[in-house]
Amino acid sequence: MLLDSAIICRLRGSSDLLTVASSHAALLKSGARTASVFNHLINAYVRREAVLDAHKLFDEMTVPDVVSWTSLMAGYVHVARPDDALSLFHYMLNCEAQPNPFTYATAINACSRLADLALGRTIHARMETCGVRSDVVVSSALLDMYGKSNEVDDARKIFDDMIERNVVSWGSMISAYAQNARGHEALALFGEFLRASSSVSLVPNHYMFSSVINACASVGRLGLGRSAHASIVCRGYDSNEVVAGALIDMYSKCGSIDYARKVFDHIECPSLVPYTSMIIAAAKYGLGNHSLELFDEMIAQGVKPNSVTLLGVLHACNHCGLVDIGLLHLNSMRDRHGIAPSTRHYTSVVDMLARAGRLDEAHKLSKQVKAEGDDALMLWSSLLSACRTYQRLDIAAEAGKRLAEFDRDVAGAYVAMSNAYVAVGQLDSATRIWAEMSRRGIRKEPACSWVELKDVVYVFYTGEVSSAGPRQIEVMELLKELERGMRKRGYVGGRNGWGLDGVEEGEEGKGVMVGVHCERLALGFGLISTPKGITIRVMKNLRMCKDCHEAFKLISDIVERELVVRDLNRFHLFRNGSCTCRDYW
Amino acid sequence: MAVDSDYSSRRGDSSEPRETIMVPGCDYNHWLIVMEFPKDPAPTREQMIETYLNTLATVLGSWLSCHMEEAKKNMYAFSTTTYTGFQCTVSEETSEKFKGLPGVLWVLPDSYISSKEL
Repeated sequence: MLLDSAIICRLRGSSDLLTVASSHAALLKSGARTASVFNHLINAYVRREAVLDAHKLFDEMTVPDVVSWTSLMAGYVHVARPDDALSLFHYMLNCEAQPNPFTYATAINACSRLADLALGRTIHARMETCGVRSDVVVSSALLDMYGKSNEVDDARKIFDDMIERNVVSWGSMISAYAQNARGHEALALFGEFLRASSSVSLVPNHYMFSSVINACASVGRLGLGRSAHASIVCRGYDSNEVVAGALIDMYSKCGSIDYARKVFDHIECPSLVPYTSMIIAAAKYGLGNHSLELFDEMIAQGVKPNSVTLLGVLHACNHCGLVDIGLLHLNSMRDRHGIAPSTRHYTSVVDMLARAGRLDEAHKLSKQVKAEGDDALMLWSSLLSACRTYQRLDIAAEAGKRLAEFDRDVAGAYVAMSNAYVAVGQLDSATRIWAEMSRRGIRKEPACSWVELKDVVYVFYTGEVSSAGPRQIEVMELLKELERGMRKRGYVGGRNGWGLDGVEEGEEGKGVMVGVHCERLALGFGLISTPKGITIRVMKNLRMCKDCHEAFKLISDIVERELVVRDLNRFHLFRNGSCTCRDYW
Repeated sequence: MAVDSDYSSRRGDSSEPRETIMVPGCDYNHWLIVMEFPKDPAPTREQMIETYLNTLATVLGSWLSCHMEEAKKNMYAFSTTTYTGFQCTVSEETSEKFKGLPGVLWVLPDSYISSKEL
């Protein structure tokens, strides 16, 4: 017996398969055949990912107990064979052994990996009837599964029902919100966590921080992102690569490419995630050559790119007009990197060709792509907006027809088409489209811009300066003064009554004299509310219009400040009278 | 003006700005200054602390020796292990002065909560 305990001790501390196997041999020779001994062995093999060996042992047991079943199931999940884990679970339910909370949690994890929501719900039902559901481990696994299956409200119900919550439960719920484009709720919950944790000594882990940073990125809130960064540094998590990648992404999305680059430069040996995040960030700011350099560097370092990295590279070529390089990457990614181009890759290339005016090639490519749903929407939308610029009504008509088949975002398509007609002077056709929109009850999302000052977000709609509160008049005065300064520098815009580009039309969809564009109002407010020299960051929900783009360039020179605008597609960084996009957007 | 959420679903939640979310304890009057030091030769713990104090004193507008005392009072936390930096109570405008000082890596708004744990 004493010998057995010594062997078991060695087993538990084993760090390689050889030790496990030799301990196994030793136990066989000593004749030890209790369930406990088997379980230790199974566990040891599972930890070394030798699941088949573990399974053989399991089969030798006359009566495997719940620990045996659970360990083996967990082993299968760990080696990415969740379906085998679930078969075992099914089998187990038919035998004598009763699942315990860990077994259920493992089964739920398997469903999560398999993305089998239906099965997950069945097991959930069973857990309710067995009275196991309220266990913290079970609840955490369940809420994680619902979150990963995009059933965020169900996840929240589980979360709210929990009496006891650990850092895993909080983390999974925050992550569920963050991954499902509900960043505001993720951050609100994180705030609650911080309040709760001070009394219960719960400490955030790096997984939770990554989710929080991702949430900040998705809502574009720089202030919160920086605060989260501070918390991360204080706990020493900033060297974690996943956290670093999230920080790069967040700083980029919140309008601060310089901070993103700073984070990247301080990583000693960047891996896939930081490289990819930085390549994408640079692409969005029109720093295409930098993206391509980083990509070359990454390959030279032996870091293998994935599908997202290549998408970043294509975006870089797209936003900079490096069309032939982009085509080269598209056509070589399978052979050089083993990555098959997806619909997203093709969409980016279609957009790139269209933006560069090579519309026939774009059109040809888009017909070859098998796109569905959101992807098809994006594909035809980008083609359509380019048609307006290059006045190709023939392609515009086809793109418009394809888009009209979708229920969603038809407004954008209609508006783009009507703009195309207006641009070539075919006002009757444009009016017909507006009438159709009116008949179908379609309204275009109004343009709005916002600035974040000290954690408060100020939203401005075109022609409406009321968000500035008591400082409305100051804002308008400043804008007038800036306009004078701009005209002195040769600015001629702002006189056109028809709303083009940014689509600032009135509610009936007719071109009316537009009020001051929302991004200018937001800028004006930002300028009067911050000290000299501070960078202003404006976020807009639609594409920035040509007129405002010109204006912003001049204003950045007049007020001697850096201006960042995030529009629908990308970032514009205005410094000393010019923009990083080099007027190509 | 109502924003029709159907049409913005494609863009996730970044096209609809919403109300304030305050991270508790983040009031923009408390700042974390992260500094970087050479690796070889690496400074001693005492040297790092002195650098912290000097940097803070510089920002507080010191050329008088009494500002060192002020710096010591103002700095409510620091570390030379988990991270290399310190936390202090200055306004947002003053915090801008840290940027560009030698050795300063990050100037970040500190959440009071995190500092309590040190």
